[in-house]
Amino acid sequence: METQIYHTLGLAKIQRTRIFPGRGDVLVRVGQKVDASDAIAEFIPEEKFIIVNIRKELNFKNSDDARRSINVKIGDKISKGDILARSSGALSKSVKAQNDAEVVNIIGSQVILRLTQPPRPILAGFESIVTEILPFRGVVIETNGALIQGVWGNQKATSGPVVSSMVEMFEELTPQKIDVSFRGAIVLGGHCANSDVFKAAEDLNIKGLILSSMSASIANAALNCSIPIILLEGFGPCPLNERAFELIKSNEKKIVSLNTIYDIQKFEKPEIIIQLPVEANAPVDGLELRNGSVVRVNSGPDRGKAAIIKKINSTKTKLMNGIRTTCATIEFSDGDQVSIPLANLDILE
Amino acid sequence: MSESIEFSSVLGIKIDFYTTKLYLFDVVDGKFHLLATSEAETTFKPPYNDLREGFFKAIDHLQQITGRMLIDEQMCLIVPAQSDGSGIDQVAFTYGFLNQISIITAGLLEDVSISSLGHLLNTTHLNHLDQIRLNDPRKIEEILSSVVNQNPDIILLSGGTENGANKSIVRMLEIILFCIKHLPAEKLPELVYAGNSAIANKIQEMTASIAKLSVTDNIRPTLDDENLMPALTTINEIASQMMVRKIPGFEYLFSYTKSVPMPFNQSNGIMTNFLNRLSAEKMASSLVIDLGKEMISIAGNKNGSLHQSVTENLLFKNPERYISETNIKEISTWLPKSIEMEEINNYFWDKSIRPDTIPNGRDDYLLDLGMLKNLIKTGYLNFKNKYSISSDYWTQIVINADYLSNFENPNDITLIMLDSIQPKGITNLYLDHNGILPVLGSIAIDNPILPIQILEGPSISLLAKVFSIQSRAKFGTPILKIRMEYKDGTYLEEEILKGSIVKIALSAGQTVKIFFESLSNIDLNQFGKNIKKGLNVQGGLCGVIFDARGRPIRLQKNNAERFEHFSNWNKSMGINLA
Repeated sequence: METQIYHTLGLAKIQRTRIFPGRGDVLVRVGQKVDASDAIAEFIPEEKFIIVNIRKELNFKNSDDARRSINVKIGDKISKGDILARSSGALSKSVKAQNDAEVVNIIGSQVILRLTQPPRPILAGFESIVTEILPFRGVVIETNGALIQGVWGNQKATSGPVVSSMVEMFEELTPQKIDVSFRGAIVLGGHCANSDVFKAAEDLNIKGLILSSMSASIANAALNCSIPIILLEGFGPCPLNERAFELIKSNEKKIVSLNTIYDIQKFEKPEIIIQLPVEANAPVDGLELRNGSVVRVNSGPDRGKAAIIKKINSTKTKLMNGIRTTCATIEFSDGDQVSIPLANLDILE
Repeated sequence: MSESIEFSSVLGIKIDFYTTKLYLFDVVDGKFHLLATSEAETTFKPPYNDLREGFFKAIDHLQQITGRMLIDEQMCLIVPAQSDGSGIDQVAFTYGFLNQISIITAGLLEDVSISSLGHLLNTTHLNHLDQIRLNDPRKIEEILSSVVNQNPDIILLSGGTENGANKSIVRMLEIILFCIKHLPAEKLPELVYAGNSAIANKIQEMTASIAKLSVTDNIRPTLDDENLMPALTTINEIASQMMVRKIPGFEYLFSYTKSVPMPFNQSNGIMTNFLNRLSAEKMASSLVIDLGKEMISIAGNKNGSLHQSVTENLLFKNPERYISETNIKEISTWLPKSIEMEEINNYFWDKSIRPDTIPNGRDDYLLDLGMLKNLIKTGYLNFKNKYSISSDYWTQIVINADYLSNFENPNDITLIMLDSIQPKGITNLYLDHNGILPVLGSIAIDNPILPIQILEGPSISLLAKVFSIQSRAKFGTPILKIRMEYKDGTYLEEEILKGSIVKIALSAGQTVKIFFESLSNIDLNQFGKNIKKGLNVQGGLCGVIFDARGRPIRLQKNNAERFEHFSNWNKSMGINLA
């Protein structure tokens, strides 16, 4: 069983490597400061080729004549309408490029063109400094600050001041709570069950939403929403864990980076980063559950509550539903202790 | 000890993306026994990025359990076993890591080389990106775009029976070489040729200055014959070398094995054939389901032909696809009580974030069961569709219990299998307690005695012998009378009603003779021709089961009636839903 670590730290060195697949270009230099929504590299997601048979196009009888008529060479960048080949004589004909492209090869009388495609940007995801360029592969960026990792996001990034609409750790964010004073800010809300919240947020130019939880029935609306949305706890009504709540509340009005772009296959998580002008150490990954670990319950009636492990049982416990599994005794901030399966705990450190 | 036992102590290693599991076997009283297993989380991902960390954790645990030293101070496995009892004689390694190595295949004719290429790839874990055909409808630049964009690790060319077509193969090779010339030098794929051997030299000449080529025997030497093993061996060797480069720590484990490491799917295939041969049934047909976090591998042997499919377990590997491809509403119809759709949706979306969570209450438990049944059912349907298998008659079905370890009650596992596979006829349901089959398959290559002796032991248990009764009678009609005669002369008679499931408890291994009497014109031949003379039956962990729910199981639309049926079925199986 794997215990997920969702870093919820007041101060940490945050370093991320942004790698692009396929052919691309790095757009930044070492030492450059970048914003969350800045493109730091761009890449071509899909190459397209076309082959132009000059001999056939110009009706040459032999390949040598066709080859001699070719006006371009390997490596040339050509624009739509540029002449690729032209026959000689009084009734001269020409072959023009149908698209912007690069000449990648000429074999016999065939010109192989790689079409110029609009590149796709790779966003920095958070305010940071470029610390390393990985030639033809990507960029390493770094900053120091508070780090709060979420469980789900809608694959967008932004930065802006964070404001809270929450007083308690469990509240519902309704369209009525989307206030005009939130314009241009990233809003900390609670549980969201109504997709009108997203529309209201878009209409008011809110820059992003930090939610504790969301109803699965509006997940597709969240994916289609133009502003970044992060979930810190999960789907279904759930309070925000105390640790994240306090951390965000204590940084209210500060500029935060909200990066909901992540890829589970690459072990990435959506995250909130609040840049701080203090040097820090990198968070420790690969932590295992042990006595004293700060954890969050991710399932059942205590879902979303942060706690501390008091004891990990050495033998398996039989749950009410008949499942036998290893459990830990955890203590909540109010002193209450419960036994929870290890599989249902996330590490918050 | 038998003289034929060359390796007395054997370490089986089974690693996939999530779990590293070790199996220690040794000879006790002249026979191989499974001494201990241990497992740890696979450390392929950050911050370790190396398989060795997880492997050493599992080894440490194994050493603690057995008291036997398996690694020395330099963290090297002690091979062979030493006179002080430390070490092991043989290491066998089977792995998951589905789709880590990619391949594009090229062949000539659909029903000949292309069909054989498909059969070959079904036993591997390679990510099949594209198939280039002689009559490919695509333009050459489209094939070029595909090769450049997908950048395969391997391109496999086959075609032409022995001394058959050659010009067409040369033409195919020209297309492949043209395409790969447009890849950067460091991204060139390795080429494998498994076609007409008459032109192997020409293929080598054409390829020499461009890419690395391996030539192996023709996979389709004649129109009627297929010869996959040489090509499979070559592909395994190349894939293993690529895994060494892609997966840190793979080389360390590989260095101790005598044979090339084998993907789970291949070792499962070996064991499926093996189980089929071992079966006492005349017309044996075996289905082996290896349900893991990383993948769902299914192998079936019917009439001597092996079919295999392997698919990612989307719940763990691709949650977005899992959510978009899973019919949550269909799953909800299999729930034995009413749960709000909102709650069901939230549960599934949340499970896609944290697939490892253990259900807390009873509702979560039921949702988890529904999800599990759906995973098995989907994998089985994919398998059937891939090979156009219409029959659900399997004389034996084996399922790996690794993923089912939360369900301690064998009745739960039996009902999961019956609901998801819905086998017809008479089926022996088995449970592979430790997910040992792939390991046995990989050991069998160098040590064929070990799997035979282990299968005689308790690693694989009979869950139940199941009689699935087909009848057109109305629900609730008595359709079958059975008389079960015990060895002590006592007997039990039971009427089986249409729509019911009846479990008759027997001690595991206890043998009884069952006589059948049709009560509503059901065809008793569905259980075999000599069924009227009675049938000797051995009980499993759940005894003997008579499943008269019909095939496919039709659920009532009315909630109350459906819930009552679920309640009765679970009660009959000894499962408490409260």
